[in-house]
Amino acid sequence: MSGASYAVGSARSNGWWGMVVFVLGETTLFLMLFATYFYLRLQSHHWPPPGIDKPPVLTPVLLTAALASTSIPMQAAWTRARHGNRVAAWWLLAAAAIVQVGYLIWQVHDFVLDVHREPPSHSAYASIRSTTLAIDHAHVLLGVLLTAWMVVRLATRLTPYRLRGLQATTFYWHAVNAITIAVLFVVDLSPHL
Amino acid sequence: MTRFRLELLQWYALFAGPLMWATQHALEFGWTNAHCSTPVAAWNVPAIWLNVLITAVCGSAVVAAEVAAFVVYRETANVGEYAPGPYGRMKFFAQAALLGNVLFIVIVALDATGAFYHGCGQA
Repeated sequence: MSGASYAVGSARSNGWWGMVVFVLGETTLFLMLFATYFYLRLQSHHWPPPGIDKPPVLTPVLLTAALASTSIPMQAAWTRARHGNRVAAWWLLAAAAIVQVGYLIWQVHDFVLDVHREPPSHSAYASIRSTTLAIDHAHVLLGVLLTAWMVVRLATRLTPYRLRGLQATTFYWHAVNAITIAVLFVVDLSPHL
Repeated sequence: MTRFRLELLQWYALFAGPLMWATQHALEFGWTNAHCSTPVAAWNVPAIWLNVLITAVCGSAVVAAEVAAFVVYRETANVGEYAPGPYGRMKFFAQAALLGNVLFIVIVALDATGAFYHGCGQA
């Protein structure tokens, strides 16, 4: 383990700024999905349509809470890595990756069941619900791949370049977790209101 | 050019494109739809000229953003490709804006075309 400290200073790297712009673009995409969801809801007399059960609450809430909690080890990993503590950062990343993968597997399993039960072509409700969830899961998948890549890279050594990658990955996860909480409120909780 | 001016130009170059396109889209979509309703149509406001005005204002702002990106890119020509700090970021965003604003100019033109050819009989 290296005791060297990689001080990044107050200036952000271009990689971090690039991630900020990417996240802004993705946030716009989700805002448009939310706007579409509520537009369709306002046009409907029944939401969900008759014959379709309201979405479950407990499982999505618990899963989202578990995913959101990974922001803590991700941030801690970045802090440890910044101070040169590669091994601690690696373990924190690995712990976060396990929860993130577990979340994704469970959610994709539920998503496939949902789509088979109520195909998107059957109603506007099923269409916007499955589209929003699929895009959110795709963002989680991208985050899982980024975390896995950082786990692989930090297994050997820590460099300023990899540190900046971890910084951008951590920021991405904070954003994805916030977006996933918003998706939970819109897609799973709002039909109960 | 002072750093403050460069910063202003860089942020304008980066964000003016998407903001102006969003503004144009919302205004033209809203106006074109409203124009199809009987009460609004009775106002006899020339829809096409209002759309031209909106497109001209928003389109000019996006073209200005492209020019701003070019100015920042020229001013940071001596900054290294992956240089950290404000000047590295300004060059990075100027490059991004140079490409992005070309796309936004095309999107603004397409949006305007859609608004001009919109018929009230369409769904």
